[in-house]
Amino acid sequence: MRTGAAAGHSGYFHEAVCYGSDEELLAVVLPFLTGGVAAGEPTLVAFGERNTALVRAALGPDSGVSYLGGGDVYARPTAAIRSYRQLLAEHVAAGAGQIRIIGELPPSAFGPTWDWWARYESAINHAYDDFPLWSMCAYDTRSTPAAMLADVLRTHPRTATPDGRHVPNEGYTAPEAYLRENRPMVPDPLQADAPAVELRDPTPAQAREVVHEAGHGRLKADDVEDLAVAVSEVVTNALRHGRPPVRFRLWAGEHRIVVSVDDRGDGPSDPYAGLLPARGATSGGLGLWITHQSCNHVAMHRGTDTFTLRLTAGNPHFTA
Amino acid sequence: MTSGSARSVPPGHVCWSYDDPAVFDARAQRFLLAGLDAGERVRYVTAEPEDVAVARWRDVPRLRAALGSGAAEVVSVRDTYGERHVVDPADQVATYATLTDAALADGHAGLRVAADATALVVTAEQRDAFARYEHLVDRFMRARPMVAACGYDRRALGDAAIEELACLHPSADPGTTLFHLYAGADDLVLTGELDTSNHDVFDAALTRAHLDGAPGDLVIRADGLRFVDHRNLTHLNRYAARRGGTVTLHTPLTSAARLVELLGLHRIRVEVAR
Repeated sequence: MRTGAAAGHSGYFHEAVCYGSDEELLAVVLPFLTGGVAAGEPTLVAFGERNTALVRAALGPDSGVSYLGGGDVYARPTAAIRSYRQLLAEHVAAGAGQIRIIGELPPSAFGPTWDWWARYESAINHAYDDFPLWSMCAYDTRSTPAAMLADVLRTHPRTATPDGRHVPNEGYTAPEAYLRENRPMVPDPLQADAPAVELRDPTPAQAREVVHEAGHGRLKADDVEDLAVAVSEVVTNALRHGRPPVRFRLWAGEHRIVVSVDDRGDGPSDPYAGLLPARGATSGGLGLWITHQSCNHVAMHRGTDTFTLRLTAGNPHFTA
Repeated sequence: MTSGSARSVPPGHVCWSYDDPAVFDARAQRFLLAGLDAGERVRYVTAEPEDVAVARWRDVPRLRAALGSGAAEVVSVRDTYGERHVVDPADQVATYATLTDAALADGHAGLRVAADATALVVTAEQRDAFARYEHLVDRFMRARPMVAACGYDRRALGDAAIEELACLHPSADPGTTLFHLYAGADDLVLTGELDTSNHDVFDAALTRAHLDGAPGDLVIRADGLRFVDHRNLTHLNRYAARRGGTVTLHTPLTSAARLVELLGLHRIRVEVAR
């Protein structure tokens, strides 16, 4: 059974919270959480350290609320979807009629990697719709850039306000449409220089070799291996599903490696490609899903006659 | 292009591919002369008629003497098997076991074979049977004093067919295969790289290297495995399921462990050792 604002709703009830002060945040969060506990629903908080402490202090001990480490959950969007879906399935199997979660993205998400978090916020409208979930995503209007807040309102069907209302967002755009749009791909400063390596129509093995050479001694061995996995999948997809020529370029910085792979094709037709495992085994979607969990940032862009995937291993949070 | 071929492996069982029969013949002669130096009995299985090959060998004094003393033998693959022969893997190994025993009984250090097996692997059916034999004889050579070089004519077979066979040898000519699956002290040894270009070949190789005996945990020593993708791990998981057991993969690749977890491949246990 659904309770609160989500009563009578089936599937995912997804709300944004745009707050400008601790008081505004707590005005939304506290009734949401106490209402969940009172209804006997699994009630979870996935905040960073500061806001977790704020909520803990307001609720006191033994509140019945569970606290997830926000930072771990939100390391990579595809991994977040995978772990949340697993968690939700477990709660439903245990008999939950509704699950309440409030979360926030870590500060690092509001930089060059925002595009994949915007895609995340859109895709979960579909990815979590199998579950009786009521969740709120909290955004601090004092620190979130306006363009990102605009994405928030387009990816959340509703906004929960400090005065207790649940307002439909007029600009909400269904994920099938939103995910087909180009998100801005902020050029990595490394890309201002000529690439360290450029290959045309490489075999996956050749591309992997270049990654190993560039990564050795620069990144952790595990990160180099994971980038090789991602590059292998992306080059394979470009050769199989794209149109030639396939161009592979690699830039190496002090703490990161950036790889860009483009071809003349249209990119994946599945709007959820990369965020959810592909339903068709032959579409290359499983490779893109793995790629999203093997890199610290994946950006995609469709030009007029070019589809580009950019992968970043190491620290993707450059300051332009 | 890199390949596992350059790794140090037991010299027992190698795969050569050739475009020019004269090149194969010269290579086989060097290989077999080294065997004579080591006191082995040598056997040349040729695609040519036997008398043609023998006549050429008689030009080399060392080989002429060995032919005379019984230290060297030349047989024609066509005279022995005819056209389109499908080998029986177990019979074929039994034949070489007998030949190895005879060589030892006659005072030789062992048996060394250079064989042009092209005529035995032309059709898919032939190739399937012969590939199973390649693995069985590889296992035999780990235990017994036999070494062999298997030659395949690229003009007749093409690269794809040769890849199916080359991958079942501990070493092979560069460019013939990106990976090797062969007999080890544990069940199997796996080296090289497994990706989308060869995942179907790996799947076939697993089936062909099928080990009899009780199902249970199959141990694959993959210390020399440099890359494996989700397709190949999925094949490995299905193979374990078909055997009704599990596979333990010993590898330095931590990415293999992460992929196994990501894909929920419950029949594979990855033991990472760097």
